[in-house]
Amino acid sequence: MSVDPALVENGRLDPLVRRLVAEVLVVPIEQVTMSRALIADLGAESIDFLDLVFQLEEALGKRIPFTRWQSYVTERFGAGDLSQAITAGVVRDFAECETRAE
Amino acid sequence: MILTRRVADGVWLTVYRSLAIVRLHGPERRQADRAAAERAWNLAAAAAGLSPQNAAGSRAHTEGSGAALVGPAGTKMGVDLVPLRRVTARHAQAMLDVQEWDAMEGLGGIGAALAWGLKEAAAKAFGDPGRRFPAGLRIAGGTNGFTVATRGESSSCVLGRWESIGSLLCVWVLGAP
Repeated sequence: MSVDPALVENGRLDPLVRRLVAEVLVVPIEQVTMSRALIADLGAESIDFLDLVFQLEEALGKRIPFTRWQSYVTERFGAGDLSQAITAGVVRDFAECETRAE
Repeated sequence: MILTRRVADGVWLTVYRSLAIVRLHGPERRQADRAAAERAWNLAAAAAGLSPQNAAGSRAHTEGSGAALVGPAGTKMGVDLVPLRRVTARHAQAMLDVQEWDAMEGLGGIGAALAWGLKEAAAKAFGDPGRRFPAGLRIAGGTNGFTVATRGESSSCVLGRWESIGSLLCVWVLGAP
């Protein structure tokens, strides 16, 4: 199944990711900005990231193994503090990668 | 509600559960969760006869509740608290391979939550949890229950135990001292 390229080209990923993060974490969408840390600032737990990947699967219309998210985070942040590092912007960047992946 | 008990020689587990059912979300929930885990840690350390600052172990929190596993330094140990309703078969399928899924058969409604908790607790026990969980760990069934090993390092293995506490499942793992 292919992903609609307009999602990226028209800048629709930001609002999509904000909405999905707000839904999964049950926080007001106004609290979700691209720079806010999902764990430290918005209270995300590990299972929330799996739910986010599920939501992205449905929104993008393609299968996304959870291991891809895990690899993305590991490659990007190495030994850094994930509680501060993973922001909504990181989820957006991951989603953008997924829109381009086969 | 507070549950404190010895789970192995010198190793104490405490679960602290708020009786006030408050549906918190976002940063407020994280704050309440961390406070609950801190309280559990202090209680487990006291039970083990250790000062909270010098105790070794693992802690977990979710939905306003906290758990702590405290014991001798050098012991591989990890704990997780899992809301039973939160982990579905879809979650389990996303993090288990076929052999792991088979090993969890026969556990009924707690299978998915237990698999999740075993991997979370083991990831803490082995260190670097954010990167090991879930694919870097392998669950196996055995005569003494479940073990969790790091993939590619068969010598590094911990034994899992669990207890249902209302709507939560407390899962802990221990390795050899």
